[in-house]
Amino acid sequence: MKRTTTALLTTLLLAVGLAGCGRPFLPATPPGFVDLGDRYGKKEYRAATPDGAVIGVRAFENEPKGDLAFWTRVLENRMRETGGYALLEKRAVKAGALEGTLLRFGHDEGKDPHLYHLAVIVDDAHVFLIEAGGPRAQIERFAPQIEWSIRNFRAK
Amino acid sequence: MNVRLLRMVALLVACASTACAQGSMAAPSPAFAKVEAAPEPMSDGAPGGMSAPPPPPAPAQPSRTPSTPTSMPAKRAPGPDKDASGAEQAGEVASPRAPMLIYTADLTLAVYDVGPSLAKVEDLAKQVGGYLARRDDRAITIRVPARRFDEAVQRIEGFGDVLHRNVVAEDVTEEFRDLEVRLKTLHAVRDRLEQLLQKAQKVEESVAIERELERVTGELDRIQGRMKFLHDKATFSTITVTFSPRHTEDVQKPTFRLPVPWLNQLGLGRLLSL
Repeated sequence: MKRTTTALLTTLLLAVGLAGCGRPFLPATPPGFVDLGDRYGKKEYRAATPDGAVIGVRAFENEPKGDLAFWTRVLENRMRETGGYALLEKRAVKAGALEGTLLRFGHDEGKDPHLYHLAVIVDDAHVFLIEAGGPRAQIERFAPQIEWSIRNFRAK
Repeated sequence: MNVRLLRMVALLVACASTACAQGSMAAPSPAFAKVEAAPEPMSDGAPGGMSAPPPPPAPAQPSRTPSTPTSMPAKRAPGPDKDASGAEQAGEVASPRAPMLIYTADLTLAVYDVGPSLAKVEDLAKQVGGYLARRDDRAITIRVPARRFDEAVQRIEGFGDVLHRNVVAEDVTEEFRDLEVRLKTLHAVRDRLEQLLQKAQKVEESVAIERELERVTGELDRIQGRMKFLHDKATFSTITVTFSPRHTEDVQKPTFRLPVPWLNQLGLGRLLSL
């Protein structure tokens, strides 16, 4: 009996520990993309197509604590300062139960036009960034998959 | 006999003394006589008097005077002409007259605000009896009476930090006197030519004289123009002030950046680096 209780407690602690160390979100890998695993750290997810379209998800502490409008504005300003990115579209998106904002930028990498999508989703504890980028043709081709990935993103 | 001899001696002495007395009135050196006589035309203002050259054409001088531009200010500018010519006439060394100087100043001042500084210099020119000669965005040139040149420069130097100062006094006395002499000579030549023209008998003579007369008149005009120019430059000094805007410390527009490191990791560069 004691052994069984000890084993259960150990399993529970391990589960809690693993959960605490893992990603605070559940990414949704769309069809055509492959999950690149945990090689980018435990708070970052990446998936890619064979032709150069990449989706990435990162989570940061919501510190300083801001709401969606705040972080959207911060990202918008920062991308404007970065230079070379043209804001093509800005609209609200849903990520499960959370509200988010999608910013679509155009960018020229060398002679090739690229697209960069940046969705920001905010809850009390985290700021989640869902990024998608690559050559324009690829991103346009995978636009529905990227939209699906954002819609099916889940914060833990 | 003795009485008669004495009377003859007395008569000779009297004659000699009379001759001596007359001689003492008329015999002094010509130079002295002329020095004494020189002031006369100044006092009574008779034209063509002692100061005029004595050659034969002299009597016609009064009638010619109106046709020549004797009212040119340049003639009076350097100093007492009549005294000088009288002295020269007397064979004496002319007394030195005031030099004819053309003052020019170039100043470069550093100021914070160029526009108002330009306006201050322009106002200053008017205050000292001068005028604006040229003005652009950064520089201004004014002309001020020569007697107030120093004052104007000093006041302008108070308008900003003097970065560069160049003051030049060009002495044109010699050139002006040369021009005066040439002017006088050419007047005489022209008068003579006019007289010859009146006496000319043949057409060829008249044509040749008129041609020469035209050349002389042209030269007269040129000299008078140059004298007027020098006189004007000497009467009004030129001050050019260039303002160099003093750069205020360049304050970069502060870039507002939140202390959030991950904001520096946005963009395609990072995302596509797999």
